[in-house]
Amino acid sequence: MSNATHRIGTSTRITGSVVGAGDQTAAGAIEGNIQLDGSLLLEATSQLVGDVAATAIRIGGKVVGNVQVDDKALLERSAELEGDLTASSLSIEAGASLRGRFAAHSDPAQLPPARPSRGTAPDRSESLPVTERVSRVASKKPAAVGASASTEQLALLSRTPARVRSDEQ
Amino acid sequence: MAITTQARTASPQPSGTVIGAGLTVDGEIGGNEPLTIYGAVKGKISLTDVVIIEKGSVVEADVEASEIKVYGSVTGNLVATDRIDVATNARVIGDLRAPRIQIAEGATFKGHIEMDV
Repeated sequence: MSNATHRIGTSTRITGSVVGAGDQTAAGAIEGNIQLDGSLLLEATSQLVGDVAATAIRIGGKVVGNVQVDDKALLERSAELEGDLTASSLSIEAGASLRGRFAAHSDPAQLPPARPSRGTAPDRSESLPVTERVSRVASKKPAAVGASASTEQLALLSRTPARVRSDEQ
Repeated sequence: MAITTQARTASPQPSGTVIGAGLTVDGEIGGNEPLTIYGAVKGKISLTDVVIIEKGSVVEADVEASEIKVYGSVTGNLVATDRIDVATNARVIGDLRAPRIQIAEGATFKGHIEMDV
């Protein structure tokens, strides 16, 4: 059923919701939620502000919002994700940036409580994992991937079949 | 030579944006590259290139583009800076405004036509 392919071109901008079945490639800008029964490829030029629910996702562009996929999630090296990510299997290429929590499992209830991902930004240091807080103090820079997994999250990951690869080429 | 498929040979570029069958976009679509719709769009479409509303698609939106080709169903006003083509079996409910307008025999149309720009 989901054999249709959809494409949002580089210089196209969609404001509103996108719902349906089929694989979608986006190279342009989307402001709104995407709900897709299929896989979503966000190319390096894409910019998404909104939440995503899909079967699988491959992120190469910028995403601000929560992402929830049933299957695999891949953050390419050019990816910038600000929001929570849930997937059954996750891989992150070196260079990708992730600000938010991620959980790799099939039960969304296991995801740590969401924090506000957009709009108001209260004192973030409150909700940051310990290791990230430490690294921030040390470097005075926003934390990058690799520094953001708390022990709680690691424990969560180890209970699941997820694979996280952050430093491979 | 290309008399027989006159309407379709102009159908261009597979590039640009494609809203496939099974996808519904509710909101606004803008940009400056061709847009082809096989699925459903509700809201507003406003771009500086060709919009092709394919057979089987359902569009409930005002459309602004340089060129609009309708093979499917549209409810909304169409404004084109270049031309509007409403093909056989297409269905349009809304006003048309463009310097050049073509409505093929067999098309369903309800609305006003304005040919100044």
